[in-house]
Amino acid sequence: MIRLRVALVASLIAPTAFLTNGCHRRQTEQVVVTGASTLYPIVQMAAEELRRTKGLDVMGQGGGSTRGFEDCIAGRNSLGAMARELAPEEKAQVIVFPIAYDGVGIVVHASNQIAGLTTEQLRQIYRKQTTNWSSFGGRNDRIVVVHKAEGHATREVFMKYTGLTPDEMTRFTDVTAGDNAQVIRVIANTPNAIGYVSLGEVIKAAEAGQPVRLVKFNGIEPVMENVTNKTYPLFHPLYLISKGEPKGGSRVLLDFLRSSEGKAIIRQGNYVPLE
Amino acid sequence: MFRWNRERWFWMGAIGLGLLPILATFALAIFLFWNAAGAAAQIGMRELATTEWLPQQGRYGVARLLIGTLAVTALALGMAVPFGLSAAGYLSLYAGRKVRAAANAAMGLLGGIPSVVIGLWGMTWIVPLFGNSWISASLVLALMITPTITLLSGAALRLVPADLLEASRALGVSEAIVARVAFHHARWGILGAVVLGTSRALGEAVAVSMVAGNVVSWPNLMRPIATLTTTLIVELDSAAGSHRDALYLLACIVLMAISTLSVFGRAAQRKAGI
Repeated sequence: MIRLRVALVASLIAPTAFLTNGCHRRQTEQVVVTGASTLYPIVQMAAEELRRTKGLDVMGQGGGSTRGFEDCIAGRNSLGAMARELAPEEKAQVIVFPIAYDGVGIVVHASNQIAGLTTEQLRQIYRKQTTNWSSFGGRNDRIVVVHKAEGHATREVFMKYTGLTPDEMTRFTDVTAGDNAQVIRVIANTPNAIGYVSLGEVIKAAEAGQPVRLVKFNGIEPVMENVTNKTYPLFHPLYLISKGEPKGGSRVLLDFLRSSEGKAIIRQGNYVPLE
Repeated sequence: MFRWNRERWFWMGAIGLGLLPILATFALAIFLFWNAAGAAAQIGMRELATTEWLPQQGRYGVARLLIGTLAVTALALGMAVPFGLSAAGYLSLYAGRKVRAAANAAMGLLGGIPSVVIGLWGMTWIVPLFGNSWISASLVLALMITPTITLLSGAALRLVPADLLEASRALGVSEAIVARVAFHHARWGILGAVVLGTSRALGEAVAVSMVAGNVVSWPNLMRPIATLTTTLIVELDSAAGSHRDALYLLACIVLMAISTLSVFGRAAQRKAGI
């Protein structure tokens, strides 16, 4: 029991180490970007480049879009990263900078042989009118429908494009997952599942050896070129947000992401830079 | 005792560090209550008591989330309590010292596995069998709380005086009756163990969210289910405005339930002299 108490006290005291850390941060001008993990790779690559060329210290942290917004309002970060649309009351409190587009990929398990799906077939699957993969030339297996939690941009894009009603979006769900990584993990572990995820993140996960694959949508290959030229219809913008007019390092980072080197980095991360 | 003048810094440090965890806990509780009270006032009790949880449509009924939490926890207890108590009974009343030490170490290890690892195990072994469902969620939870129940009720059973058991045996009753005497004597400690196991089950989020399916629904063994904590973990990332406030309210409900149970659990254990 005593050992348990010691561990408890230690775990409560440990976070103070981070508090003192925070004080040091403010002295050397560091650009802290927190929020959507979707933007994390972009920020990380830009950070490496800016450290090398300008000696600027940029630190990226995940935690989700909501954290990015709250940190921004509370002044805990320099810039917030948002992978979802801002609510009107949120938009009123910050300045919003669109940085890139992210495609929304229709993803299945790597062992799933289906070639592609049309909008109408997706509707049938997500309305549970078609419940077996054999209807689309796949193996004879029940379709497990995976959704994102409410509020995610990918969910909004999917809903708008397929024309499913909010009621249909909730009623026929087998699994609700929190973020892209979780959807990918569910599908990698469920051979008969289907979901929709950030295109950039699926490509990375597949490259890392996760057993997931993207399927053609309305006959269009889900590749970066097709998102760039907008023939692939499922995509949404990613934002960085700032509480006031960005100054110093934040300005440098934003300008860099809109420069040609910055755009090259965004493409490298499997996202589409703004024109 | 307090040689304040000569050892001021030592005492200031000691008292400060001693108070910090208490202050941190209170600060967290106040933060949660503040946000939750705002959400409750804004959403209204009438809405909260409904069964429709549809944040994008401004519907925040927590009834089905509560029912989901209770259902998953109850079934998990139904699985964990028989196993945990039988194991505790065998280990503390009959097993040799070496077996008991080995089993306790294994239980401690099992209890210390990060929940995300248990969740991954559940995804690869339980979900293929039962789907993302109530039963999967409860199985994973049962695995996580069995060590707590076994270890704590084992500790209670070991406090049963040996001469009480010897006296029972001397009366010539069957061994089942002797075990019953032991369990009866340790009842408060066992109750405390079960209550503390329950509070762990109520607070668990990560592992459950990986196997439950997290779909708000009426409990059905083979269908997906959502609990307060899985909803929190799945939705917090993307929640804005009143949706986020409503999630703070869920967190507050979980916090209150767990603190209440912990108080009862500890009280029961104290009564048992642990």
